[in-house]
Amino acid sequence: MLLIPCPHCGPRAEIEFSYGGEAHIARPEEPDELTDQEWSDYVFMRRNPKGVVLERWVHAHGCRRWFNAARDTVTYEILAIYPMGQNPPELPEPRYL
Amino acid sequence: MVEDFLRQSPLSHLALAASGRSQRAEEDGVALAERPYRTVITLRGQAEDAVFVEAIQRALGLGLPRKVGQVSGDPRGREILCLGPDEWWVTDAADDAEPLVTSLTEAVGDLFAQVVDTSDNWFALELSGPRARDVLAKACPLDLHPRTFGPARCAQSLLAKAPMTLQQLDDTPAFRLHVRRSFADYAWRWLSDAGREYGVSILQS
Amino acid sequence: MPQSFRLPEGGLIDRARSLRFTFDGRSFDGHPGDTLASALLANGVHLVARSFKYHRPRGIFSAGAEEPNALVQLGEDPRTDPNQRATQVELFDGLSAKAQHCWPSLEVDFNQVTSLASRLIPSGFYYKTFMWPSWKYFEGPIRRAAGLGKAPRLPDPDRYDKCFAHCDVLVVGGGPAGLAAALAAGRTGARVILVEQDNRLGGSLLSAPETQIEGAPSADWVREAEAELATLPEVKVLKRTTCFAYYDHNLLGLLEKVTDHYAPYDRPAELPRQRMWRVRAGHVILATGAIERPLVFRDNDRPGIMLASAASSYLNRWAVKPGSRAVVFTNNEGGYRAALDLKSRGVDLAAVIDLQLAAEGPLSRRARDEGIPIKTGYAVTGTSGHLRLKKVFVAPLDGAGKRVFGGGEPIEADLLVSSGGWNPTVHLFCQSKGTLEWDDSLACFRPDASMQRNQAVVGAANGTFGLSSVLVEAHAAALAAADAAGFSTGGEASTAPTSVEERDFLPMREIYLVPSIKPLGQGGKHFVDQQHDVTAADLLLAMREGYRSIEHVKRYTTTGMATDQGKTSNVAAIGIVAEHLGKTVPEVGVTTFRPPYTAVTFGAFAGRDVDDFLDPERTTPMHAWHRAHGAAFEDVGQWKRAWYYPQAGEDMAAAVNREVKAARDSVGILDASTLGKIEIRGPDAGVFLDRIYTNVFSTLKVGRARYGLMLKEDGMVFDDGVTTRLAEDRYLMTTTTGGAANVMSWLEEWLQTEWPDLKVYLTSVTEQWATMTISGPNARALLAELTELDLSTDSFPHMSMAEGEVAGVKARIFRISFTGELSYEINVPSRYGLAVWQALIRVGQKYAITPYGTEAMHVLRAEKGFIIVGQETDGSVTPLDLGMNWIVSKKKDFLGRRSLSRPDMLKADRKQLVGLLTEDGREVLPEGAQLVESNHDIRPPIPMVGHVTSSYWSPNCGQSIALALVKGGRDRMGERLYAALPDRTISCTVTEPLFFDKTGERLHG
Repeated sequence: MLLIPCPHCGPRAEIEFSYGGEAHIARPEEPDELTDQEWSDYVFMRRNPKGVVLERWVHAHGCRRWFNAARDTVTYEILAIYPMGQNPPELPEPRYL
Repeated sequence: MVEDFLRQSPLSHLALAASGRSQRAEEDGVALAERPYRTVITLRGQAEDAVFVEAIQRALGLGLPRKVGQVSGDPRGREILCLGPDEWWVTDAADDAEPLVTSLTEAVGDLFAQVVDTSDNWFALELSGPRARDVLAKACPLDLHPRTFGPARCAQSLLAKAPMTLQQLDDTPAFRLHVRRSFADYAWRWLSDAGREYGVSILQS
Repeated sequence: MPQSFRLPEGGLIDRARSLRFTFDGRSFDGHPGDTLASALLANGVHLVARSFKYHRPRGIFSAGAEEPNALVQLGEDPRTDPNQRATQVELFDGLSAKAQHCWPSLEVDFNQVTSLASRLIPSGFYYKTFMWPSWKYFEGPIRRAAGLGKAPRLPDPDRYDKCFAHCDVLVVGGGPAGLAAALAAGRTGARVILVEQDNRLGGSLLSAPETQIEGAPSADWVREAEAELATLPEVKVLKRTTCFAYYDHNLLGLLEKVTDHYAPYDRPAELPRQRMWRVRAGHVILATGAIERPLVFRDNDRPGIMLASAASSYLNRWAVKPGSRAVVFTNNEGGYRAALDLKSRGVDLAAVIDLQLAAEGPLSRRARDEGIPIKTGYAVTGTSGHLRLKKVFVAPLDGAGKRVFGGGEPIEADLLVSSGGWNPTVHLFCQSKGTLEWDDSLACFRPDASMQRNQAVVGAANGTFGLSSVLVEAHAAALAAADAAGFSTGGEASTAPTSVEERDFLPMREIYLVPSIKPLGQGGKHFVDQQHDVTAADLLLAMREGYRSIEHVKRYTTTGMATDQGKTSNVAAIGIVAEHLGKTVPEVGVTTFRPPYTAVTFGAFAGRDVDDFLDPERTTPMHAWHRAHGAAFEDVGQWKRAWYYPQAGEDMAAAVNREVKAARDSVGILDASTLGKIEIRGPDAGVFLDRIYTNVFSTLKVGRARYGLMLKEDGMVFDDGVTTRLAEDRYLMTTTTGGAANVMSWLEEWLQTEWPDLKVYLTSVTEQWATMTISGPNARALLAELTELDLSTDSFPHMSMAEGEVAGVKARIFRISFTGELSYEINVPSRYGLAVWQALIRVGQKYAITPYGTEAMHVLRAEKGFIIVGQETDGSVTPLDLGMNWIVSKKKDFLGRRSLSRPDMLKADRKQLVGLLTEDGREVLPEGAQLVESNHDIRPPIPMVGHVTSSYWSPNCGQSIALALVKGGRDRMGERLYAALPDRTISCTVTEPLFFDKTGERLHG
């Protein structure tokens, strides 16, 4: 079970949070100008890399605020958290064993 | 004003008012009490808006805490709990929320803010006594050690499977636990059972 | 034969008290401080079990958590636990244990025939043999013959507890390393939890009374350390507590046995049986020690054969002689310690058989000085004795350690102890994804790199075996951890306890498979995994059959997969595979370590969350009234909703029919408090709702209400409800009962993540309001008696809201309808819900007011063809599928809109909502029934054209009605379809999904 650093409440147990999927998928401004394929990509397609993922979490049983996190799917280490709407900060090199 | 006898605590089926003790028995590790009808007003607004902050502080006579988890005011009287960067609870010993709702609504006026009476959305119970932290540790993943939590602090978390807003009232330690009204019976029975190994005094409401 | 193997003095037992216990029906005595194993050995009992596959007699092999053989069934149903390690079961008065896995008795086990036939049942035998016609025919009998203990049949009567804990430093293991670490960290003021699986602190020191720490017997140091820890307010010592799992971010699972060691009549009723701790530690220090590795020789599994260190433990800690005449078989200097212990406590020591070519260490020199016969360069080639070891055969070994010479010289002995080196207990470290390195000098895997932050492994667990080095290492690691946690050190606290002892077991001669006089697998068995009866021959067979990866060899032979997880066998198995493949041990590598370290009962995982606490039961303010009036309840999510109110003599159908009629004929009342409610305020509230709902809300007039539908971005219906404009910048949204939390999250998500520019605040008020719906032609007349409000349609039209008092309580009243009748939804603060409900019931008597439950509500709405999200929809249904194009705005964008024009959404054969009427109107279709086009052409595959989503008897229509999703349904009006049931079909006709009051007149009263 992860210990997730909520930007407002501090480190809290994972059971207080909900996962929000991949970060930085902006809703298209003009959906009608997208092809069906492009729209489907936006709705359905997500990356699932081994290594660092940028993802969204919400402190559902806490302050109910959303935030972004950079997490390594190999080590499960949370490398950074950063506010919605911002780009990820510079991340440390992953520590793979 | 509605007659008091028309109102019901969600624990009225337990008849606590009649059966409870006035204080914790010496041999019991914890005491449990319901605190129905306290005023709980949910306040949303922009902490960075000085006009909003000033309006609230003037209306309440209390500083508006800005850091999530901070509480200002008197835990047995009127206080403000900071629950989120733009969310607070104004709670008060008064069992009629309306005057305070009205004055807060007037205070925020046309500002981008929200004042909602949520007194009946929530149900408060108080858990106190030397083993109170041990009982809470069974239900709640928060670290309530005096080094990390204490009076004038609050946190939202879980009480077993019920969402909870928790605040510490004093160093007894005494805690006030708010769960949604429909979880009142669940929370009460859960805590009574969890406290069994330390002994639980049931107090009058 | 009362405790005839108990030594006259010594041991950490209370000789003043006797405890009576039974094993397999025989009564014995032991003492407080004993384990079941030590008490059995004190009584001369070695034979305690039959093996898993071959039913071979087995004895007590170890003195701890690593025990592969001495598994017993403890207690009687319902309080019975299978596979309990006798070596870890603390003795109590009245303990009752049984041998497992033998019939008719431990001494005479008929299933031992499997042992005679063992050459015919190698690894993979079952997979290879029982294939035709199907494994399922063989599984039952084979599983009955195999297996270990029996699960209890009755519900568990015990209570279990679970709790969270937090600390700066968690120390796992209460041996010398753990104690030194806990003291060092605890003295800094850091919050420390020390966990020890045993009922005593001290670990290996308990079995080595001669060791000295701080210039005194180590027992004194342990006692003082424990006393000091008890004085430190921020230190918690948990004994009888096993750290069984190491999860992410330094979350560790502990199992504390709270009352298991009490006599049944003494167990404090207020205490849970066991407690599971979930500890979040700032820093973790693993001081989990090491486990001795047995040597793998022929017939190494007889009762009377055990680990060398276990023999020392039984002698020193429990004052028990594990035999009368012993042979020590070792490949290392450390094995001589057991020889010296045995000799000094009066066991006749026949010989030390040492695989090493020479033994010149301090211990072996002492043994030689004491006159112990030592044969170096020798091997044990086999053993004999059926229910107990009788003879040990030894022979000289060649220089390569690959073969022996001669026929094997017999030595009479009833005890054979072996030592093949030591394995650091790296289970928790590996569970946390730390990597291991092979240490050539120690011939063991030891921790290499940590994956978790803030973690240290100290002492024998880290491959540090000298006591003095252990204490220094543990002390330093604890100070570093405390320092990193913000607790400065200095002065007294920074000195490590001293010892002059460097208890090392080196040198050793690495031989994983001890040769015998016959080829492997002939004339006897070399057991590698005793609990799963896996032999060296099985491993070699697996490799001959092409298995190379150790993970595959493990799964094929099941070595290391028994309840002991191979604690005494894994490294030997890897060593044998490596020798055979001509690889090094590290090249073969290790298998994956997974929780739990030792077995954990399900009750502990469940904790308090069983029975009544399995899931919260949420109740409405009127719940007590529903109960008092005999309501049956329906679970809707976590809510208990009144389902129907049967009167005397009524079944469910009769009650629902009466309730449905009443709501159409006069007036009914429904508790609708569970509907989700969200207060929305802000200048952009209207714009926000326009984006969320498929239809427009920004144009709604103040005081008016509108029904809305929400979609996910994939275009599928997600929730629905009525939203009312309370003021220019204020709305009140209602949601479905089950969707309330999800909708709130959904709205917050979009506001916070995608549209932070919108000025909108949301607050959930679901439970602020008790909601009661009065519905029926007399609803207006009833309400008029309890309010001053003008209820005329002109001033209070359909789809509008008014505020006023009802029964003296301030209320919000919505004139909206889910029944098609004139309806008012009255909302009052929850504390007054019951009072207002009772007032309505009281005044409603003159209109024969009838409380109706959720079932009647479903019938009423189905008569009108109103959907229920989650019943007519399942996450694959669009508004177009529901025929609700009228609610889908063409003028604005909203969530999910673009998906509605994807080609798949426009297909003509999408399932569409229709009504169904059965040919025989008395027949009610089962919900979920599949619909087909023919009732005679029934050759598979039969095309499924749809399914029934809702189906009821409608007393108002006088026949059954159903809603269904049918492929191209709207073009099938009047078509005949068949509901396919297991034994028959029901014929029905496709209709419009509207059955009652088709013009909607009744809505207006």
